[in-house]
Amino acid sequence: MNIPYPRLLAATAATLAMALATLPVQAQDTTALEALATASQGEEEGTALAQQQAARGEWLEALATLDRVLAVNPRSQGSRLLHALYLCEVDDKQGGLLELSRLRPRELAERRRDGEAILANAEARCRAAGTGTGDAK
Amino acid sequence: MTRALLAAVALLALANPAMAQQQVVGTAASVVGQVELTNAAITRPQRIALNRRLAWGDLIRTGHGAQMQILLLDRTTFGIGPRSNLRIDRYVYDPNASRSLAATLLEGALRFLSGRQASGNSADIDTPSGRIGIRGTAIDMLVGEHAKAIARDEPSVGGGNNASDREATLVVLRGPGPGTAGGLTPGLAEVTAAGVTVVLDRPGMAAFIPRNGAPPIGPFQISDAGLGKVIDRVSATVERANDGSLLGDILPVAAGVAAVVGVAVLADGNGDNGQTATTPNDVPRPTASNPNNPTGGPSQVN
Repeated sequence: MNIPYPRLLAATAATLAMALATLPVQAQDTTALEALATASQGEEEGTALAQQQAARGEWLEALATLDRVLAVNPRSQGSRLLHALYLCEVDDKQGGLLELSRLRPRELAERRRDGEAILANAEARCRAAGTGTGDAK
Repeated sequence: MTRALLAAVALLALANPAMAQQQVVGTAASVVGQVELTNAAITRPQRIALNRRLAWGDLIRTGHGAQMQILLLDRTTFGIGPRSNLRIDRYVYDPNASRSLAATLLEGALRFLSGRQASGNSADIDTPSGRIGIRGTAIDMLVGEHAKAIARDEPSVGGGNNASDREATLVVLRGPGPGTAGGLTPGLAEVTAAGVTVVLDRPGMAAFIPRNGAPPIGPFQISDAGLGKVIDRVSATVERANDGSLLGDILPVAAGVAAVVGVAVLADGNGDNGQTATTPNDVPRPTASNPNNPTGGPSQVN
């Protein structure tokens, strides 16, 4: 192999630059992903994370977070309720109302009528959600 | 000198995992049940654990009752339902520009949720019978016998049209719709098969490809019953949540729910002791000692 020295030096420098540039960026990115994943393992922390994302308008990321929370904590009625409401916010009212209809009043509150009131409130919010103006955070 | 420089480059490449290994595209952000991975280098199925890094060419297989979520670098997610088979074919992401990805859902259930929005983003998901082009959206899709069974009951499909147990593909757009909050780009999915493209542009719109070589049927508005079955396939958690052991959790769950919804009726039903939230996010954060105490939450994670 007979490569002119200046060209080889340039190629080496480029490779070095790429290595130095990509390694920390990728490490940071994957570390951030791992933090998101870890934060979604617990019901309370995961729900709080979803609320933070929603407050920034990252509704789909918030839904993804709640999907992770529910995968690990399938009995989390609070996460399930929030998931339904966020679907409504992205204008999937059919899906949101369907998910709300699957929640049982007796599993939402100790007294049935309280659970029914929670669901009625959530359903009203769902129907009113999704203004399209971005101010419904 | 030349040989020394070449050796230095090789050593540098080996020292940098990003160069020496497959290109990492994301991680396993949620793993429930038996989920396995194979690729060109790993031919014997290898069990996946939380935060496993994933790369081009990885083939993910979930077992019965299992599910997984892949979180990609741009925060796009693949939620994979039970008994599914998904391959990541290509993923290119420039944080300052856009993201391009391609994947293949060979069988099972998939929920796709777009991550960071950029005008040049593109995503294509192949199935045994067609291709779904996605723009900034949330979709649920099924491939196989469950797609066939659900579609068969949809009036717009009309009996399934000699659908294939292996190739049938059902796609449902979930959002965002034109009335979305937060200024998101309304979602759009193009379902293409046999040279015909069906566009889904509103939540609840669906298309069905009965088999390889057949054009898509649709778009049609999926029924509530059909959508419920799709959700059940995409998320095994519904089934596990209703396993009959919920009653013991009612009291702590009720407290958490009250905090999340922020309704004012838990005390006596007349709202005297509660508070009314104006948005789904305008809620206190529950804590173990006082579910309505908004303090003491976790640190922020971006």
